[in-house]
Amino acid sequence: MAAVLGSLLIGNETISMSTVAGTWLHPDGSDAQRIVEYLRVPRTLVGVSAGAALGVAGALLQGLTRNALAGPEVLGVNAGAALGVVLGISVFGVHTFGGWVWFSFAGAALAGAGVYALSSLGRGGATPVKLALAGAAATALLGGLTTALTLLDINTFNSYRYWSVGALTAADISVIGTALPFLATGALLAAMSVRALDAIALGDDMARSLGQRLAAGRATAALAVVLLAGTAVALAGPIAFVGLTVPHMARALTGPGHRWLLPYAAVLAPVVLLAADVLGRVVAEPQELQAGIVTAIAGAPFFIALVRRRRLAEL
Amino acid sequence: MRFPMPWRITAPLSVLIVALAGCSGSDTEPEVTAGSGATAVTNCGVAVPAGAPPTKIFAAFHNGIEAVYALGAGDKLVGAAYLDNPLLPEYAAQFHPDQQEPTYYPEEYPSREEVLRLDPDFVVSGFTGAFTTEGLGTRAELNKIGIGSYLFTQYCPTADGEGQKSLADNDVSLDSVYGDLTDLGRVLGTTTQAEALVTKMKQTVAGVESELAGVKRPTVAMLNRPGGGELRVFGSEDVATTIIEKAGGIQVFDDVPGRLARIGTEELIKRKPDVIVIPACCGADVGPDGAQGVIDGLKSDPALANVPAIRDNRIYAVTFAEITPGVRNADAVANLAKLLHPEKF
Repeated sequence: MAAVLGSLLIGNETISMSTVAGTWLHPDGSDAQRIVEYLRVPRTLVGVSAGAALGVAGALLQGLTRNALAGPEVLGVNAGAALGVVLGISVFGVHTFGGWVWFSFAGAALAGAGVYALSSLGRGGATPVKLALAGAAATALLGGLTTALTLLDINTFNSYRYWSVGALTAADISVIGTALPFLATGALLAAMSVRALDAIALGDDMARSLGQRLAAGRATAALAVVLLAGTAVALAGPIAFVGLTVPHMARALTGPGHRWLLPYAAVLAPVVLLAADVLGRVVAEPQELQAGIVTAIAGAPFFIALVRRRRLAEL
Repeated sequence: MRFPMPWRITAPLSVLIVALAGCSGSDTEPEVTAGSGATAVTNCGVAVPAGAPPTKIFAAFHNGIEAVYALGAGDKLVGAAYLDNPLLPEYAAQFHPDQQEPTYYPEEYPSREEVLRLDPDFVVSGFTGAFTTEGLGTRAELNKIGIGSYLFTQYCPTADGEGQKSLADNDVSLDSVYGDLTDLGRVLGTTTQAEALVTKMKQTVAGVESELAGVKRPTVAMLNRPGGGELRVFGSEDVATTIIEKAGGIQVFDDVPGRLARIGTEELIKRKPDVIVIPACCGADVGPDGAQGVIDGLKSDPALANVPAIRDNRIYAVTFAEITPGVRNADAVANLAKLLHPEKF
């Protein structure tokens, strides 16, 4: 709640609570009300929806892979989604959110599956660090391809290059409406996979004894990840580290059970993302840092700490 | 395919303010003596011999190409790359890459090999990117193989071969432009044309300034919105700021450092510019109407409806070519002055 308020009130100019309320109660067409209605409300909604989606997707991935280093950005899911969007725009000429969100899903699914398959090769299966390494490699490769595509046509992709860093200002209010059904479906699938994720957490033996049912649960969770991360990327670009770090913060509050972990992640992640966005507005004034840059800077040390704490790395 | 944009349009978030020896306006610099005893001009810290004019010139970017024509050395052009807007008519009449020289690279940046194949003995560039290792090579590298070079001093990098991210704290005055044209004239052996050109430019600007004495100065934002996304404003370290001020306006983003800076939409609302100017770019066939998409986008953005420039429909297109350092700057001042003060002209 505080984060949402902060996102509405703080910016290049601090806007009072009464002005924010007055935007709908007594519309007067003033600058402040226009800023609230057309700029701050959309970016706050994008922050809430993309943040929640990334937080839940991260928690799902960590549960699925029993890997503390998992997250849609670490496993190449975000990079795959971004490449999907760019391919959709450049090759298929898709220019609406409702169109490219499908490319985003396809990219997220292919990249995630590819990374998991790659890290499962060799001895020991998909260990946390191998998964992170494969994800990093995939992210670099996919990001390179994305850059190459955008360099081929700078004019068309100028807006993309902005989006690609991860900003909450890229989408407008109608786009959020289009995104909602996907996010709702993703949330529903996430809720349905809670039991399977809890079972996976109990270890391989338990997982094996549950057999078939667990496979269905895994598929449900994976589908939820694709929907949530894919929509978040299509909305706000491949924002780094929110999906990785937020589940850890949530877990500290709720313990390992997914029944509470997922909703806490869904609430905490928007707080983190909106805080990053507000920070980006304030620190660089009069210029503006995209939220994705702020989360990347703030998230990197967290990631290093995670890798170094072995106990945490094996969930 | 179009590669120059990242070098030129993409501004570093904040240009490093690094002092660079030898990179100030060269207008008043003393002549230095090159090894052979011939005089030379200093350009971005590089001594460029003046006295033995080049015979085969390669010019990169709009301002480089037009400077060569304006100084009367157009017949020596063997190659040219990039036009941001159509050439001025008087030069377009001489520009026949389809029939003869110069070999023209309209969109793809020519590789070093392609340019060397043209066997130029001199390269003039309007932007830093030409003289990087990714471009045609650093100026020292070119010099080693007997190719001289000249770069507009407003794009002097902090070190030879550096890209635009290392632009020095450059002098963006018109004097620096005059100094460049004078120096380049000496290098090309066309001192008389250079003097005439600079005199004419100074007269144009003086005429505008005398007309504008005591006038009420509107605040002006010069900006672009590539692809309809982020807003990028021209900051205090771009000649655009000089042009706005000479044309009787107040640069509303005067405190934003660098050439181009990304700002949020809220910042534009807060600054309340009276006038918004959009430089149209980029291509040999892109006139001022190339900015129409950006103008329409700004006008239809409900968040911006109260910005004075948009409310009063004072949002104008100019060409990118005229607001980059070069032979068009004086006319750019006159052109913008007409837009800012229509009652005076």
